[in-house]
Amino acid sequence: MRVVIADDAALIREGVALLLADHGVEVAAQLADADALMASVGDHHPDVALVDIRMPPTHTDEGLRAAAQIRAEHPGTAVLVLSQHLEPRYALRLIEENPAKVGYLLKERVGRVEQLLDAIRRVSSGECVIDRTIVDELINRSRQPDPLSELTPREREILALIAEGRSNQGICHALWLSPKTVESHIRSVLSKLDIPAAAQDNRRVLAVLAHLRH
Amino acid sequence: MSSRAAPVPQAQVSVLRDPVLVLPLAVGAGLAVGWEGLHNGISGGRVAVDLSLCWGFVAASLVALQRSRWRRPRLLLAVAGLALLAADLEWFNAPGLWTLGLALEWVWLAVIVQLVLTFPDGRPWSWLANATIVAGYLAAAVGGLASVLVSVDHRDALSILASQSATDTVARARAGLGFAVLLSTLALIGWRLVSLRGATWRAQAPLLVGAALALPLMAVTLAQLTLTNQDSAVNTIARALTGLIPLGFLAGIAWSRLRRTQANDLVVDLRSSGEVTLRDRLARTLGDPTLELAYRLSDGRYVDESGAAAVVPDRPGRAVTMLTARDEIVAALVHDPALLDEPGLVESVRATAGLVLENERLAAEVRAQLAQVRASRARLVVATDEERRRIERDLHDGAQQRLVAVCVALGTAAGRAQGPTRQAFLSAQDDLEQAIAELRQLARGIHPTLLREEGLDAALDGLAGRTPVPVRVEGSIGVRLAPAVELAAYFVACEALTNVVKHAHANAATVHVAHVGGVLSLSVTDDGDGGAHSAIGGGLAGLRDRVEALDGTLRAENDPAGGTTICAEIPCAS
Repeated sequence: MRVVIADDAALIREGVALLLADHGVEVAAQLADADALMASVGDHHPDVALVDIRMPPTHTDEGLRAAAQIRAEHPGTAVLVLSQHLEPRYALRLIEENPAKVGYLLKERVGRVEQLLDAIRRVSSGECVIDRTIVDELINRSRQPDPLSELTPREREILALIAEGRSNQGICHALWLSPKTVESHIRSVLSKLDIPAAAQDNRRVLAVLAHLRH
Repeated sequence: MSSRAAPVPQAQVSVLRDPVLVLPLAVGAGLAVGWEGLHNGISGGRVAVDLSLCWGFVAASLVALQRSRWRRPRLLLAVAGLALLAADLEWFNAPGLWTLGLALEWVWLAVIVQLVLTFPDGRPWSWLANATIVAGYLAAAVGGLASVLVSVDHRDALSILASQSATDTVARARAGLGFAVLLSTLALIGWRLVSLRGATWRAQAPLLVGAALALPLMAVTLAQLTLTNQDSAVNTIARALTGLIPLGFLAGIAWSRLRRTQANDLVVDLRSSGEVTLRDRLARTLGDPTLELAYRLSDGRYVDESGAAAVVPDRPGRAVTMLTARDEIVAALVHDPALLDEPGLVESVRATAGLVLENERLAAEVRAQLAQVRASRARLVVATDEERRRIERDLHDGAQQRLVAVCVALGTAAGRAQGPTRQAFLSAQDDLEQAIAELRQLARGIHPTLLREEGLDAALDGLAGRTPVPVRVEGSIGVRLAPAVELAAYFVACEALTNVVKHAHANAATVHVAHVGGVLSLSVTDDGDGGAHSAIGGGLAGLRDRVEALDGTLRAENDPAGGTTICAEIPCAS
């Protein structure tokens, strides 16, 4: 596994590099801004780019824009955006276009090496990863006529896991359920959210987005 | 000679300064001339016209005594009256007087031309007016002298080249030139009447209109003389009509007297003050739409009625009259200089408006202070917002980054440690993550990043999303507004929703937002028990200060059927 790290805070950049090196991840480059990041991704073709959302020059959403650019120009590289913002809107911006090989983690997660390694592995294998805290915030969103209110607690739990980017296998594992049970729950969720069966769409992602956007 | 010459100018000056002396002179001389005229076959009508004109001109000049700036027109009126009488010396048979009368025959008309074309300040209106005046005097004086030299009349004391044809020629030439002078004068009067405005027009129009009515017939008379050298009844009528000039003069004075009475009524008008401002009422009373009223503050600055800074100009074309109350300047009237032609008028205003002005000045002073306070309050809000933003940035880029760095270091250490040490590191990480989460909440409360970067719509959406009660957001702004406006609206929504959650026992709330006509309006309505309203004394009171500092309003309404609406309106040029 090869990664590049882009963060204008050297302390964090180097700390994360050290942490990942301890766990056998190759850190191909460390960058301080988006331009350097783009060049480096072009040079190294890493499996994953870890990108801080706030970088010079404006310290606003450079990371998100760099992520979009990497995904357009280097589809082989997954992007994991690290953010201080709890606002779901930023995460939605990241995954709306194409919810694959991409992730959004709160920044403090980088200290949790298991969580970080898990996220890196999952985005590089094509999954979409969203920080648990943000998913909670979205799931807990109170709504007016709420299609989610028709979901049973178990179905909501499963939808939350789908939103985190888990596969059926992952959900079975997390909830100690049989694959058959999980599949039937998911079918129920999809029909309650009124998502039609169509081969060309990723219905699981549509379910998550429909519910996030609502 | 020098000892004798000296008293003459003094006498002139004293007549000038004290024109009352002209009256007995005019009356005595007029009676003598009239008596002689009637005796020598001059028609009674003509005598009556000439005497009335003479006395009318002189009387008008005396009535104008009070008008200090009209000294020159006053003098010219008296001179015109006396010159008219001098022309009638022709009615005497004594050669000396007859000759003088002939020489001065048309001087009175030249004086009237000068009076009109230099009215009211004694200076010719223009170079053309000046030329017309000079031509008038040339026609009268040179023509008069020439007539005397060539006259065939036996009463002529100075006849040197007596010749009937020369007499005719001189008379026609003189009348022709006089005709041209009158045409030019009439044209100048017309132009003057059209171009004058406001108080200036009012002060001068009556006399000018009188002249405009009187002089055409005189021009006809002169034209007739030019063509036929025959005097006729038209001459008498034309002379009679020139009486309109002193009449117009008097009418102008009467007009301003009337308006002074109006000024005295002003004090009543001022007390029954309605929607009309003091300036408007003064402008109406003084008849000067350009009038400006500047109040003098105790620190010497001038402000208008709204409290905005005003300039008291020191430039030509504007006159300034200071208004005082209790020997202290309270206001300055900036007005058309023509108002100075009616000193009694401004004086009346000064006398009647003094006390009201003092009150208005105090009100203007308060308004000026209020404007200052509002401006400084608005600056404080902007400065506070800047400070909030800086603190939020420092938290993000400083404290939070360092805490994350420590978290990473702890993670590395935990990965290399074993047993209880590793557990201690992981537990420290838990605490640290909690601290970072709290810091994040704190930063968002100080200055929300989403609002700053994405605008009010996104921030309200985010706010609605994380409020524990279902919140629907209606409407949108679509554009970015001034940061202080966005922040104030956002904080209002935040505080209102917090109150809904804490106090209202509501099942749902609606945030409505709109940006119409330069005003941002935001309302938060809940379906609770009205508890949010009673909570307005808390956080919303501080927000009311913030909203009002931006010239906005914040109010809370309880629906009798239950529920509360908090409504903020903030003006903003997007």
